[in-house]
Amino acid sequence: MVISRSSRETYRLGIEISKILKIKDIVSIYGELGTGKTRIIQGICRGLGVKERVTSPSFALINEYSGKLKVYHFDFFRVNSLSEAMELGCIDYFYDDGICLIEWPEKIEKLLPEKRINVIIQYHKERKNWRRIEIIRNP
Amino acid sequence: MEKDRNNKEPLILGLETSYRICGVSLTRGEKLIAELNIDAYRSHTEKLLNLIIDLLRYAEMELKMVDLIAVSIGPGSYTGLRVGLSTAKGLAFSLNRPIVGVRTHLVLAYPFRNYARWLCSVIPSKSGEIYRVYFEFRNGKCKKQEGMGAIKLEEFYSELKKKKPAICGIVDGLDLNYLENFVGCQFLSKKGSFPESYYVSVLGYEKYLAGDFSDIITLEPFYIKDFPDRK
Ligand SMILES: Nc1ncnc2c1ncn2[C@@H]1O[C@H](COP(=O)(O)OP(=O)(O)OP(=O)(O)O)[C@@H](O)[C@H]1O
Ligand SMILES: [Mg+2]
Repeated sequence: MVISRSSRETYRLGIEISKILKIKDIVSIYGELGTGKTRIIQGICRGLGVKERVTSPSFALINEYSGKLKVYHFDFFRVNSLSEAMELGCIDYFYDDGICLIEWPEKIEKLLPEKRINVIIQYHKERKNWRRIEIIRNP
Repeated sequence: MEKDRNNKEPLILGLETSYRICGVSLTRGEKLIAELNIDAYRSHTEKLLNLIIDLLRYAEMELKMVDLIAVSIGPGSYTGLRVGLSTAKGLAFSLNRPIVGVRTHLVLAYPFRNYARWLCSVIPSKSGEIYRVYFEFRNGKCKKQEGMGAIKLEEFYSELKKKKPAICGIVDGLDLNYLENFVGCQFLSKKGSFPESYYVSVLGYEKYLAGDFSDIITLEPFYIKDFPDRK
């Protein structure tokens, strides 16, 4: 478990995480609204050599970036059912030759492969800009 | 008029000023009530408010009946976007209504969402580069987007050869003959298209349904080149 004291630190942690990633890895990022899921993904993408602007895919479900590898950035916040995600063919990407970074994975938990890296971001109880961040390799 | 008031669907005012064509539209949900477009060259400032006033008059509606303001946020003309955004914010603030910003690439692609699955929406930049975004639609829904950024024309042509999308958007400066015959990409509107305010309203409606409102204070034009990390 690490404590991030600023948005910048979360971003840097993202860069660190990128160093352990390899092709076909899936990183699911848990955390309430505004905890910094997109922020950490911006760091991961930077570490993976993505040059484009990284923002939450708010209208599309998936943003695709190209860095050293293909990067798929998902945001399932607006998805209400598993069938909606399946209809859109999201699952194919989990087995594609790229790296998947997922916001709101809990919305489609059942569709996610077991083998993945979970990142859990929580607000700190005392400080507004602090976060507790856990990184757990599963299994 | 009474009947209209009882309708649950929101009345949406859409503003499109990112390009030379200044456009305003009024929809009930996604149903068109009125739309006006004018080639404003550089005078969006004068044109926009007058267009809104005329639009409401043609539609026999009043400003206070509007439930939602939708505005195109670019990329596009710097002054046009400033005028559109400040007008939208002024209206949203004084009427106390929500505002939603929609990206112009999507406004340009939306008319084709049911006809083409794999689309490239283009907007030329002043420096001669192309801002392009690829969209994958499925059943009219936007599934994936990629390639958010500016690219040189030659690189763009070779990228298109690989990706083979249908093309839509503002094609000033693109060689359409070359695109169709040598690159092999179909252009979806021969006349060249422009961002239509009707689709700003439609996208505003979709965001409204999703509860995805913009923040009136922080909403700003979308310039592809400012990376958030550079701050
Ligand atoms: N220690 C911190 N780590 C990350 N973000 C922080 C931190 N302190 C403050 N912030 C701010 O919190 C916000 C996090 O926003 P971000 O969009 O990354 O959250 P999110 O978890 O993706 O939200 P959403 O659930 O809406 O997708 C940013 O505005 C960031 O500047
Ligand atoms: Mg986010």
